[in-house]
Amino acid sequence: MRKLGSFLFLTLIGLFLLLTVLEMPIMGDPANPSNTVTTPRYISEGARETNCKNLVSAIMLNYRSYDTMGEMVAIFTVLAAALAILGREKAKRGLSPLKVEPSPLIKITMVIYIPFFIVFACYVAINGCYSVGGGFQGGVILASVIIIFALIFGFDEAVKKFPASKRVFFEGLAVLYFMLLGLMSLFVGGNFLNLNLFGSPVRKLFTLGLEIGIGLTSGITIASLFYILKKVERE
Amino acid sequence: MMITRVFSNLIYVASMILFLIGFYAVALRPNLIKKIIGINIMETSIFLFLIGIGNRKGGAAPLIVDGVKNYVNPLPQAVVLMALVVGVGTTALALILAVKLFEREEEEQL
Repeated sequence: MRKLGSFLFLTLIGLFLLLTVLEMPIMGDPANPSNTVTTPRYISEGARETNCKNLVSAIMLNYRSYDTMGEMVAIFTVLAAALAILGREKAKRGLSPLKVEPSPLIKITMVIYIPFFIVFACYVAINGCYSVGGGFQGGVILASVIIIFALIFGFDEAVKKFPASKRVFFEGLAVLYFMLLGLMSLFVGGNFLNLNLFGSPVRKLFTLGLEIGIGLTSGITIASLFYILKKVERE
Repeated sequence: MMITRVFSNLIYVASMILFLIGFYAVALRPNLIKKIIGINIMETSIFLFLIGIGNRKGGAAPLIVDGVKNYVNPLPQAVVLMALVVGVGTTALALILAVKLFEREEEEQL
């Protein structure tokens, strides 16, 4: 009876959604409202106005940098809440061994690969304005390197190599860094986070700084969330 | 007319089905971890929907290259990029709350 009821409930919602889908304009049509209102401006002027060839980065760092700042606040808040609920992991003196020791082949392969992964993460983050990529993507690659390291060499080894005292600086930096860069534009007479008034070289530098800051902070925040969740398994 | 429209908008239908699967897991399953997976599936369906809206027939990726005139809409992609990171945050927070809840239940049973 309950199954039938939930099935009917889902069908009802599905019918409403299907009615909406029937009303949607045909996908990919150049005359769609989503392709005619603000987008032509982004595509025709975006590269010139922001010096970014990658339009996604151009929108995230220039046109909608308020949103990006709000997002940094969001992930900082998540990390703060996680720390308030579960607390930081502790470095144990006596190392608890892994349940299954990974084969030396995997360990040696990872030792060779990890520097290349880190170089790739830096490339994606720094080059975000000129090719496919961006700060967040680079940061997530950086976080995945730390997570792979912890999975293969054991959590205690990862805590020892990359302790909380090294991470806490970058975690706290996220929002402050963005706001300080935003305040810079007040000195040249613009609005908050309006980098348009700077000359082209200074603005390139600011954009690069934003990319690196976003990459480092988001990557290390995600790694910290992993550490906090992994801690539970050990206790 | 209606049928051809549905066939050209198959991505919207796919996102609708994904949304229903996620909604089923969130609203009608008692298991907490399955609820969190359901939230993730719902998120993914919304991303698919937004990316579908921004599509443009034959458009290139929004990276300015000389000689290419037709680009897809970069705005939904930027929005989805932000939503992805926020999604990671919400998932992590939900998992941490679930862990705390399980710990509390274990304590009460002792």
